[in-house]
Amino acid sequence: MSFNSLQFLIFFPIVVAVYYILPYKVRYIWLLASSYYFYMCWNAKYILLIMTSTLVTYGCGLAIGKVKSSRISKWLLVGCLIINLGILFFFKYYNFSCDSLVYVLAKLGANFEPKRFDVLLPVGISFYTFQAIGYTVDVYKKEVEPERNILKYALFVSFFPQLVAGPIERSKNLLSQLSKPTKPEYERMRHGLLIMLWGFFIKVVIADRIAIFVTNVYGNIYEFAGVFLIIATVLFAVEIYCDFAGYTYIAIGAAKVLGIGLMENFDAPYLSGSSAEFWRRWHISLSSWLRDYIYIPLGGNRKGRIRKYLNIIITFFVSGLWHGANWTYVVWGLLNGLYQIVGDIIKPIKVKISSLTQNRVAEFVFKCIGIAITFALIDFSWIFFRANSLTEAGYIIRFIIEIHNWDIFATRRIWAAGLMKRDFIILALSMMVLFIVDVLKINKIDIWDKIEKQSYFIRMPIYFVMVTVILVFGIWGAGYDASGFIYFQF
Amino acid sequence: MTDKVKKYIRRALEITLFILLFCVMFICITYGFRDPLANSRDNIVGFYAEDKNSLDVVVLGTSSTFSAYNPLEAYNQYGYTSYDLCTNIMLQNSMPYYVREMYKTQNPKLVVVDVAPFLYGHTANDFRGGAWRYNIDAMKLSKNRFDLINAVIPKEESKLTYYFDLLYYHTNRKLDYEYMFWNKRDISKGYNGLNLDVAYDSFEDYYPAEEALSEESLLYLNQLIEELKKHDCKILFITDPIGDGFQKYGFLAKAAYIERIVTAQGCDFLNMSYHNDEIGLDPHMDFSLDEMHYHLYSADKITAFLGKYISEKYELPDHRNQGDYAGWDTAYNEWLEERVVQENFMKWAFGYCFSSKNTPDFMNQILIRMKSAYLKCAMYAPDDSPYYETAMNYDSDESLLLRLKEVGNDIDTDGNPIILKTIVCDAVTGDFYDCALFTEKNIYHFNEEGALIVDDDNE
Repeated sequence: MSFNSLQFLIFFPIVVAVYYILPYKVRYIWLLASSYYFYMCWNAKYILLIMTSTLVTYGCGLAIGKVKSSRISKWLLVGCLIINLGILFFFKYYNFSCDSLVYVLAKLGANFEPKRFDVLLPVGISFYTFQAIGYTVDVYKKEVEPERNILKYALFVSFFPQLVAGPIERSKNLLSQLSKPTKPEYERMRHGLLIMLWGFFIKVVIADRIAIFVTNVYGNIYEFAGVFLIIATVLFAVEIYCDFAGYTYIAIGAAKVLGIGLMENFDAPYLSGSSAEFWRRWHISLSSWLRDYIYIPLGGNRKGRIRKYLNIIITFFVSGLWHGANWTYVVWGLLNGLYQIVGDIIKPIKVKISSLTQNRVAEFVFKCIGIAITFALIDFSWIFFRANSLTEAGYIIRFIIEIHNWDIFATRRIWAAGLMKRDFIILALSMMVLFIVDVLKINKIDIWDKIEKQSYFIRMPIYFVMVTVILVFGIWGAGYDASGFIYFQF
Repeated sequence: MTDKVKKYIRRALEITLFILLFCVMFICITYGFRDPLANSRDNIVGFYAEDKNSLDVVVLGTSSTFSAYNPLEAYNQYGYTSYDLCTNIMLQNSMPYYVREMYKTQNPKLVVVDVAPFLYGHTANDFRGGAWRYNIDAMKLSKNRFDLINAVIPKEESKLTYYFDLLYYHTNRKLDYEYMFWNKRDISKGYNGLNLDVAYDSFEDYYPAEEALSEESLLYLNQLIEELKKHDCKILFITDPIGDGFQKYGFLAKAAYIERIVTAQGCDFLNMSYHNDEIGLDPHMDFSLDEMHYHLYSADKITAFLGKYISEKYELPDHRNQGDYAGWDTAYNEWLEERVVQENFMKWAFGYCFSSKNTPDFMNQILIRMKSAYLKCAMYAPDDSPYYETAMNYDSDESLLLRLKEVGNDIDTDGNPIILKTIVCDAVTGDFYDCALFTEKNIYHFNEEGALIVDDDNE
């Protein structure tokens, strides 16, 4: 069940209504049942994987909490990691590893044909596996007490708003909230619904409209070369942001309606002045997870500059691989790691240039240049993320550099890739709204909070316009293949 | 009243107001997104837009009906007001629901029912989506519409996109603001001439014995009569003139049976097939599409005959030049302007079709396709507006091409302007036949997924 499906529009109000009707003590059981149903709408059998992950991490958590020996605790943790990562590896990386191994051995002249399995990638497996592992590590590090109520813990792993595409929640934040009584507060629910509306807006009006163009262009790179690819690549940066952030906003809003606060996952990432800043603002829950559970344990920046850079590369390699079983994702991750390292090396130069800017205008121009360069670099890396193979990514870069078909505007061939003039106008206006919201956000102005504080006769037209725009200009309905959200595949 | 209670009441009012506004907006958007190509929409929307209780006669029927009877020509000649309340492929069991819909805004003195749906004997099970949508989607959201959906759509089919057809049309169509508020008058009062020529060789006279309707059809016919009898009006059942074809003998046999059934229940019956000579139909020129559809000129003849019959038999008032009905005089004058356009189109289309047959010329392709019965040919200009209506405004291919270049904002893969695209599918099964982009130089064909099919012709 996708958030942008009719099923969800029926499912969610029922879940909320029953949730608040039920006595507080049994509400979490209802939420757990709803979450399992939500997940089973994709593939009922794969609920067993969540249950396995839940049981293993729950058991390990309890055991780690009980044993006194740190050695046994460590082995318990290792065992838990092996089982969880083993499941993830089998479903996500086994066939990819086989293909890569066969390729390497073939290059070396050896013939090897391992058995492959025809399995579907369980939706959201990377998200809930990382969340469950995070809990076990937190218990091991004694940062949280092991949860004794297995149903509550199962809900922590499978809480439906963030189950399939995050945010990857921390046990410290989410588990404790599942034990707190919540009342159906009108203002909070309204606020949650408004955030959901914003999520729907950027998903169906912006991301899904861009997807038409990007899919056409990236699907026919020989036909749509040069400027088409430049536009598609720039638009893809916006698409993936709106797609993923859209999901996150809907998740955060839905959880808020239920009285549960989820962590922020995006903080105006494309207004970052450096790659490092981008990764502090993009997919915050994953970035911070990787920082806390991989980068810091590897030594972080505590063991010298060379080791720090190695740790960055390892972390981004894992990040790339987490996104998908394809070398394109690995290259994307490594490229972003490289940006971080280069950014760190040239940091003193940037600081020096920055110190030369004496007035606010120069400061602003310097900041804008930084944002533009960062966007260009990040956008370049998205080529690898979006391409089907490294060879294709190579062709895309070559076609961008070598083909200069700027006449597509004069000949109006630009309309041939699926979006008409009207769509571009809608996109331009919508992206302007998105930009304004992000600028406000980066200046610590919560637009949704501001709207909520207005009188009814100001708020209501805003709600009304948002709903109307989604209904009229959104890409949805029977003619549209509800392709779900890009991040589900991870 | 405590502050807490006041707060709850205020919140309840806030939510109620929002929900009400949302419902109004949802309905308007639904109406705005509905299929602009189906004649059914213009007919039905136009019917709702008529002034309350302003119609003397309502003609209920199917596509053959709205191509045969022209209410404005009848008004001009006999002075009574009438409207073709018809949809494409009207199903037998849909008709009682249209009677209910009709009486929501009108109280006609006479209801004319074309029995063509009973002659064809079409039921919902004979069709797939397209025909069901003709019957359902033009109707306003109401309980009657929901009842119609339940009556027409087979149990095993999902009814969701019929209850909420916005789900079906959204993203496939552009919002058409003109239709959002359900007040767009139909310039031709439900009449839709099928201005394409099909010649039949002869008119044979058949006088077959009665052939009983199926039990199902008889049930629907009785339901229709029962629904009509709830109201104080006269009822006239008719059959249009039927050209020679494989169905004529059977149709006349069924018509004879229907005549006996309806007259026994106090209704009148007129079989126009036995009045071909009085009507003055020319079997070589006066049929369009098939042996039960008509073009502008044949509709003139049928209207003149039926109008005279109605006005004489039912003594209907003459509203011409009456202040209250000035709108009808204006409408007739508007229709005359539209009529000139249609006549020009007919001359051009007929001539063009014959002069360029078997050439790759695009209009020829379209006309050939249009002439295949049960092929739905949806034509779009590059800006996705329905093209067919636009085509009628141009009296030559040069002026048409000129106009298309003006509206065209799309180009093909060679950089040539795309003239128009057609999507051809089976109106009965909904099966995909072809999707083509016609350009000045090439015809590009696409598969159902919209991917370009490269063939020798295109290369």
